[in-house]
Amino acid sequence: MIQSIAHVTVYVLNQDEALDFYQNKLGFEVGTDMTVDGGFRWLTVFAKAQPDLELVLAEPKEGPMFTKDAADKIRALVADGAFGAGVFETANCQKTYEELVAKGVEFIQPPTEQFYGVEALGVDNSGNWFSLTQRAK
Amino acid sequence: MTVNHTQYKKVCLGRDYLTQHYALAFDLADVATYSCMSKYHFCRVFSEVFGESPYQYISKIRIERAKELLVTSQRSINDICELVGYTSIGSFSVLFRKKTGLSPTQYRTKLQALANDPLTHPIQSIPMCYAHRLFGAKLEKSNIE
Repeated sequence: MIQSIAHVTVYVLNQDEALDFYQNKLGFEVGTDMTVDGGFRWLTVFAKAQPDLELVLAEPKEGPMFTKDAADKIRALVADGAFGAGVFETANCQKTYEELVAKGVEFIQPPTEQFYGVEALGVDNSGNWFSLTQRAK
Repeated sequence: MTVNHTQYKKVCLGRDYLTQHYALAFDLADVATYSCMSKYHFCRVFSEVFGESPYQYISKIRIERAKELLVTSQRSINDICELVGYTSIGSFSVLFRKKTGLSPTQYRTKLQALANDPLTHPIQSIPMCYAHRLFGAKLEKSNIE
């Protein structure tokens, strides 16, 4: 039986810039930031209240996983906003939205009432969109 | 217990303080005051939000930092013990073994033996699926059976 999710990959255009965004703007913490044999940087972040689910901030690069053409295509799709980083939950969507806007986070939809709660839609500095959601009680 | 936005922000302040000063001796009452909460309330909200006590949290950070230093530095175990905030090498070693299953020396020896380059993390430090897919690490037969 699968019990939980430990890592989810988020493709980013630049790991340094993505780290700045997720750490200094969204308030995530660094799980691991290490360079392993071969120069690959293993960079993960997590929400403070959920340390057992880490986002792997990975740059699509030419290598065993991608051809150069495929890596370029993935990067273009990321930049175009084709991918989402998921749903980030908050206890107060409006307040968190205002805090993030003050930090310069771009939103494509302000907090809006939905049947499942209040939701705003933001974009990270690579182009991945994310939902900022306050669940309905 | 329901934690509201204000309580969450306050307890995050204290947690950030602990994160930044993990290597220093601390009085939880002072950290709670820094968070504008009583010590009791701070501990309760902290555990509710983060699923662990402030003491468990600081231990986790110290051990993770020690693991990093054991692999990427040549500092002695005693030095690392002090650098991450422990004054007793005995307590540090017991806690380290409890968290990792290995003594600090065993951990260092094991990880350094796996790395191709000195003072770097071996490829085995990251999940094999990523190692394989991102830079072509070969899967051991035992991993795919």
